[in-house]
Amino acid sequence: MGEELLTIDHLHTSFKRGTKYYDAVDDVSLKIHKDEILAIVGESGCGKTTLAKSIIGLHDLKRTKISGHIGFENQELVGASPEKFDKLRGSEMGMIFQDPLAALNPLMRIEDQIQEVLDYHTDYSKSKKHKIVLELLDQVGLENPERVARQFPHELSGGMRQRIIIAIAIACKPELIIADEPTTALDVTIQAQILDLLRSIQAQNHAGIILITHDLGVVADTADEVVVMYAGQVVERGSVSQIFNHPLHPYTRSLLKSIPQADRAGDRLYAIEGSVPPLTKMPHDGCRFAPRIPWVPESAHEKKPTMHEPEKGHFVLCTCYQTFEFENGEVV
Amino acid sequence: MWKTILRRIIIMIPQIIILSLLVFILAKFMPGDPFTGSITPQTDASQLHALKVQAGLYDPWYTQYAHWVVNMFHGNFGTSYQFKESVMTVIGGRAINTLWLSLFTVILTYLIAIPLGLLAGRYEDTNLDRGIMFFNYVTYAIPLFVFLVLGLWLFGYVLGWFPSGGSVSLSASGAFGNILSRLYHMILPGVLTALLSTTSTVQYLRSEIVDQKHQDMVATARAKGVPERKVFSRHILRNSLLPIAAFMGYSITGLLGGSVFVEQIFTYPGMGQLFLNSISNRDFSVITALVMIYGILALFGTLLSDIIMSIVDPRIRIK
Repeated sequence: MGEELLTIDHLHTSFKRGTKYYDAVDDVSLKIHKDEILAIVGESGCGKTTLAKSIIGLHDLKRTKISGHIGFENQELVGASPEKFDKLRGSEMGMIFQDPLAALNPLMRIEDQIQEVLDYHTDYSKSKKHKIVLELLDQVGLENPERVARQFPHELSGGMRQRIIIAIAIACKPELIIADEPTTALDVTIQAQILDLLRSIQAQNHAGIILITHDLGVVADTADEVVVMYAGQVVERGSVSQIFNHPLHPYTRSLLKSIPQADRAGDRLYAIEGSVPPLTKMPHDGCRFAPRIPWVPESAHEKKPTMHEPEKGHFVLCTCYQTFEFENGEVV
Repeated sequence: MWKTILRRIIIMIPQIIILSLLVFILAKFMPGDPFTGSITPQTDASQLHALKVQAGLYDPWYTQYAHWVVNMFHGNFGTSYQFKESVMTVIGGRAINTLWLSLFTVILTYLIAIPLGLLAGRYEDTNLDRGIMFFNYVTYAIPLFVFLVLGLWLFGYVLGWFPSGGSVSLSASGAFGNILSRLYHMILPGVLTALLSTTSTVQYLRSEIVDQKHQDMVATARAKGVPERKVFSRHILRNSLLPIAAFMGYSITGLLGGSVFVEQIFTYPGMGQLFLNSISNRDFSVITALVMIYGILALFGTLLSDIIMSIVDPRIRIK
């Protein structure tokens, strides 16, 4: 594990709905090191993307309040000026988005879109920038870079476009790469290629990667550390082997149980009852996952859930993990 | 590029043939004939009959149609019954007037609408935006003819700042004086029409900008570290202008048809006024020629829009 790259402490990100602010990210703390892939998992609406956008400063501050602490290379990012973010983004932090078609400007040639990063962060000559663009295209595994550079996004396939997005994100060799569901919009064979690419880039650039996903298969394959989020909170966090071999929190266990498995084909797939409560109806006290495991007695939960560390480096929220078992008594 | 344009023009040929058939048949269906207006109790029935025979009005419709089309190809739309002059001469002079006025109006419309839409979209939900939207609803709600009459009354009659009719002053001398006088006559109708023509452009541009702001593409640009000002001009604005560009061809040729209201109210001798005039006088040759011209203009408008789109949007370029 490399040195510490990003530290988040007690981060709250709240959105304005009407006149009140509601926490979409509620008291999140985590760390990421160089040379590490940290996966953030959770179902839709649990605050993963909100967290990522808070780190990279993409929230509209007129409608969003961010408090707490985000430390990145000795700089405080909470409350940092737009100019500071403009300097950091692209050069020291790169972001990869979910939908590779929507994330590219349809009116600009690929070369111009990649070169734009270099325009704002380097003072290289035009020919040098062109050379770098071609190298990047080659590095992300695109054949015939000269040709691709002249093309427009609509002329490329989904997988190729995602490679372009990655090329943009790594153009200035950033320390931190945030990949927000980078494989969700791609088919399975392309998914594996893109994940391989991310890993090889990490090996070359020694970057820290935050991988946001709801696909636990991707996590098991790729990540070193895992953070499980539910309803804006971190409910469990630990190394990939801790989370997969010894999951604690009922939510993590339910998630793992709801992965389709070949050896149990024919069985009904496990589904977690209910859904993540909407932002405006988020309960303030008690365990937020309690309504979705109604058979667990109230006494099993903490009134004000706190983080516990039952084994070194493995954290879990609330005490309900100690006695939790599935309705049919199955242990996972 | 040229291939695409050529193909589009070839597609237009059958469209024009169908259009000409429709125009011809509709004109024939209209009650009365060109001589209806000149009949008096003293008119000799046999003389009238002879005139109609001479004009070919008793020929079968296809002969008449063929005749009309062949003549049209030679640039001969016939003679205006009303003006006793070649239709081309009658329309020609008016067309130039309309061309100038509509060009002036279109340019003015975009000069007003694009900055307004841009500001409203960029500063969405601020008082500036609300002010522009208010202006937009007001101009949308006022009927053009009411606005024109009021404007004419106020600026042309009460204040007397601008001439209240015509396209050029008789006392204008020299080429330069002539141009100045023409411009002076265009200001009031042009500005008034432009003010009320901005609605859709402002609305489109504003909602496109608001929409584009939330696109992933814009988030990518920000994630590259592109400063907000550049994100707006390079990414948001360019993409937002696409629908405006798509519409431009239509609005240019549309206005070339001349606004019937403006020309009638300002007694501006253009194609719109001529059109109304010819209908009330049953001047068939002029009507059919004008409808044909409007139709062809509309077709060229779509062609122009396609060409503009293929220039600004790489997705539309056909190889």
